[in-house]
Amino acid sequence: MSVLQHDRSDDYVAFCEGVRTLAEVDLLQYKRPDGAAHPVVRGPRGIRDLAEYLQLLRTDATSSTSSSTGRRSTSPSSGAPRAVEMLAEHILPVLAEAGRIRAWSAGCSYGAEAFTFAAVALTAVPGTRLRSAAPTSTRA
Amino acid sequence: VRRHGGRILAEDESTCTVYGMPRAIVEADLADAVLPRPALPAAIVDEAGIAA
Repeated sequence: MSVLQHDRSDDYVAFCEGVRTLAEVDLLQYKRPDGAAHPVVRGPRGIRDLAEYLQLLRTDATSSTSSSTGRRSTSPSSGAPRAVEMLAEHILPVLAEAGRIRAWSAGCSYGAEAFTFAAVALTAVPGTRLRSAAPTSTRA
Repeated sequence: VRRHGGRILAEDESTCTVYGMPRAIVEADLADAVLPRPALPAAIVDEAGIAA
């Protein structure tokens, strides 16, 4: 598998800051990878490093913005509705009507997605009662 | 998820902010469906057996 390389210490921070600007996702809140090479994602379209990947994301965002309707509830890079808003408006209320919701956050690290899910449920579904669950290892 | 009887929906690359995680599912041939983000709520509700 090809990987994106970040050879200089600043490359990763610059990439994360760029992603935060584009997508409002702060990757620096996640554990920073060790070592010189980090398998962030398979390099699409022949890109070789994080700087090139960030430029690709910026280009995609610019293309999307120029054809966007300007709705605020869209993802900067795709024009699609934001996942959290879809969760709050179209998924959780419907599922809650049918009964208890069980959510599993795979590889949740320090729990950002799980806590976000809980916060959205508390906001979107009146009367939500949260039950925490112990971390579950899926490794053999 | 599959082992415990669950079904796996992956977001299509066309609407992903970052395609890394869905790509991993698709390339591992584990996705039961690959859908653009606007189609996911209805699909999730449908998978839960709830009439929209």
